[in-house]
Amino acid sequence: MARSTFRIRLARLTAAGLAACAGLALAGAAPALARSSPPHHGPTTFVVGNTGAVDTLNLFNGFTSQDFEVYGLVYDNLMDYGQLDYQGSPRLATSWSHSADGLTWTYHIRHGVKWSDGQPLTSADVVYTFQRDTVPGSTEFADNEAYVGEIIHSSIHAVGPYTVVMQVRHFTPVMNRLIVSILPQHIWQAVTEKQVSGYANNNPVGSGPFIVSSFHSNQSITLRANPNYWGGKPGIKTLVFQRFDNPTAEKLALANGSIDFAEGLTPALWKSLRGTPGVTLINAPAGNWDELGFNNGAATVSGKPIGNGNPALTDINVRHAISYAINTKELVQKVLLNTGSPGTSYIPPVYTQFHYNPPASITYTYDPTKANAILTADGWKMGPNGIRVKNGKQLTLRLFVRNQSPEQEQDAPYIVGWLKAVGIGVTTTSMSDSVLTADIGNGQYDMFMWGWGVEPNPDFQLSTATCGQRSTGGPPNYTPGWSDSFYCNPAYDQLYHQQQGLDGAARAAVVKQMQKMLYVADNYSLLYYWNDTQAYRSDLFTGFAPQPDKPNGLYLYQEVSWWSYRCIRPVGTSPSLTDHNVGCQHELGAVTASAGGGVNGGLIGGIAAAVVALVAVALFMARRRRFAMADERE
Amino acid sequence: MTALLDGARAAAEERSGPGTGSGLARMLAVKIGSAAVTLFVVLVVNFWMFRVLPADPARNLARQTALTAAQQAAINRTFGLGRPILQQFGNYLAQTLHGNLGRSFVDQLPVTEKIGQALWPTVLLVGTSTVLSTIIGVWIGIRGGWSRGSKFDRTSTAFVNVLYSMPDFWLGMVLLITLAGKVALFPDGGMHSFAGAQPGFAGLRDLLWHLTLPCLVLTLVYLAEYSLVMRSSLIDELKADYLTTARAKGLRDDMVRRKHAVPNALLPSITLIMLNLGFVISGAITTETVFSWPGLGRLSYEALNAPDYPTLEGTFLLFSAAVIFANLIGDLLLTVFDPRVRQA
Repeated sequence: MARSTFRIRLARLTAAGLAACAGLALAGAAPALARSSPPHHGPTTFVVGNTGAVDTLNLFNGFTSQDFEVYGLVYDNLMDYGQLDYQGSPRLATSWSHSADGLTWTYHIRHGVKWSDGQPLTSADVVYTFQRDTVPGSTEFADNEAYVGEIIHSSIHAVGPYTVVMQVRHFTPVMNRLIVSILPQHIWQAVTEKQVSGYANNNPVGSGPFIVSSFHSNQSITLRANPNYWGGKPGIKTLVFQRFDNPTAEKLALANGSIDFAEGLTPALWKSLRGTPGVTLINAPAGNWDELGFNNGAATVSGKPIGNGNPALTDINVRHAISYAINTKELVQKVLLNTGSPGTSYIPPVYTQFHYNPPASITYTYDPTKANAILTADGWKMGPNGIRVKNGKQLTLRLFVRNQSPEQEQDAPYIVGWLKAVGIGVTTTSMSDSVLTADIGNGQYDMFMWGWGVEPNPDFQLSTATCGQRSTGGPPNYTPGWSDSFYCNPAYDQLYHQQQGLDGAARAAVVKQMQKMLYVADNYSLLYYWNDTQAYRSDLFTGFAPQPDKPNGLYLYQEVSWWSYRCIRPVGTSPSLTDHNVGCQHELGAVTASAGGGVNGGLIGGIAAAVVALVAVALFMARRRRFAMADERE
Repeated sequence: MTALLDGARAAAEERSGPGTGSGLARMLAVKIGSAAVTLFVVLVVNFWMFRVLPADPARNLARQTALTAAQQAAINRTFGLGRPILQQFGNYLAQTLHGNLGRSFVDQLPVTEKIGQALWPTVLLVGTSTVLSTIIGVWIGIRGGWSRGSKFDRTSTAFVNVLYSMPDFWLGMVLLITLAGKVALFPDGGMHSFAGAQPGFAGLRDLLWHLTLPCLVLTLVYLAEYSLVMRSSLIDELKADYLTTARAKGLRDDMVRRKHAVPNALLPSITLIMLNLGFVISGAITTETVFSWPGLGRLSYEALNAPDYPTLEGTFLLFSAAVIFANLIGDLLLTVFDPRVRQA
């Protein structure tokens, strides 16, 4: 009795375990086994994979690039950055003008636009939005200050249902680029400023080309096309953004057709997709760069020196020598796998209007001989251990590397080697972003590696090198400003303020002059502009509107722009589906390639796995039987 | 008659030991009390630990995303970061005792809501795999330990040793590439197909489809530990005198195993199981990351990167509380299963 009870109990436990495992496996495998098509999801559903996800649909709380990618599809901005030139381009505002003194601005609002709940969008909504966004100290103001900072709150008013007028304190080119999401007054008037940060907005009412149909915070979001969109009905019916924590899984998903677009792949994974049937790779220059930052002499805004930076770096010759000693081309080849270009000045080349391209005579091209000569002329003599010495002090610098950036961790050994070759000793320390931020703010560093993502409007990026962006407060923890090189030049600051009151070619000239100033001063050594490596299923979808242009423009995740989404359509459908849409005039032809592997691979794999599972279960049962018989014989 | 009753009472007291009833209550009170004290210490350490880190969350978020100075000020204002640290601590204690874990620095969602969203996926994944690995691992351990040196023992020991030495992220990647790549037998990650949670059987099937690979990885990696611990503790018991006595009494082998050997050998496994159950909710960061599983492990990893103090404090508090609670239950279970503990 006891013996059989034990056996029964053991058998039950085993059976429960096996059943659970088998149940999981079979139930899990069932969809794959039952599938008769590739793991694709239907011809009019476009699935975008990314390593990030939307956290919140409250546009005042979101701050990730994935958040903004969705906000720009659900809400219309007053204007957009142009697809080809990054100039202010019409969206809800069809045209605009300003008074002769540049202080009064008039915007003409598009007729016939409806909110996704059917209500009409009028100038009242635009006035409401701008009034809401211009209350100083509010969450809304903080979120939009870069655009609305100069607008006088009390001046915003409507003139009829389709015209809005507002005044600014000083002329600013930003008024030609108001990338501000317009909100429906009838929804948001019920949400007070105090309630904003706690407002989920999970069913947003917008006027954009897509409408949210389901949302899983930090996982995935599904949007459906807005059939009544004023810019034309989008060419796809459903748009999904799916998060992948594991970029390898994202790559596999693109290769097997589970997703149609992959964003955020590492250069190595992106490159490994080459030759995958049906997949086209995009190596698109974007507004990003990484730099080797120098401590140019850390100080507070009032000029009081702080920190423990090596004074050698305040010597421009040492900085020049470092810049000449670094082989940025090799970094692009070895670390970025050719998905980028060597860096020079603050505003990336993708913004052609503003980028400063230094002439060859002053460009820091890799030249260790020149680096050695500069250091020798500067009085740094080679010491017996291969490290240069001046006035009894060795030229040894600390290099802080972010452990959250695999690329920068790869850069570090190259840089250490190149600097060692010219007699500069380097000790590297890997640290988290938060620790590095604090160290920089306190001026306790020599060199570091980090990067910037530059917007089409160069204002903010240029501001990071102004004197006013040095640290504030007092010891032991100073409050960091935006400046992490502590470069300070009153002439530069003067130009910065000058460009704020200009637009067009005049502004571009000043912006280039400022970049030249920084380049010559060598406050940073720009390592490279890194491209956005994207890939998509060109056998299934076409119609993209790359920014700034084909074939090497950004297909999706454009710089504060959303041109492609309205134009994407399944391969084989008529371009007329989308060609009347705003921004869809730059169509790409389909790259025809067969989608191999998916169906048969899946089916065969499924059957094979099922057979293996069955054989395993059978063998196990047979062994169990043998054990049982042996026990019974005893 | 009275003498007889007195004798019976004395005998009963002798059987139950002096003061057992109150001793058990005292032991319970001590264990529960010490768990509560530990929890409070965790609460205090939790707050100060994150404040000691040299970090400016608003600035850190800003550098990654180019927030304006006004936006940073707004973050600091919203979270009271500018206030004196003691005042922040007081607020933290008061809020926590009211079940309010604050709002995330990153997306301003309530931390309880974020934890609530991630709790179920983690309990489902890690809980299922812990139960499966316990059952299978203990079974393999008993079978192998009892027939030590048999073919089954040799094969299973070799097998579980291989599993034990496998990093879970590596096994996860191998399974992902072989079964979710070109073959596409299983999904590439996540908990649901992109359409989201569907109702009814289709939804359940979709969930199981997504659960299979991560659950398989964790089960395989975890079962080795149970199996090896169970096997070695059973082997320790094999030569014990009481087993010889049991056999000498004429008990069948199965009876000896079930009644005498396994209950004693199970004690280390109970401790291990309870300890691991405590860790269930802390998730499995690497496996959750490999399979994009939206659990608590992933949540705490993201919060650490930000750094998002309120979320970190919330998750760490939850993890600590779970381990403390599971240990308490384990202690109490041991008193049931092991008379020596009870008497001590």
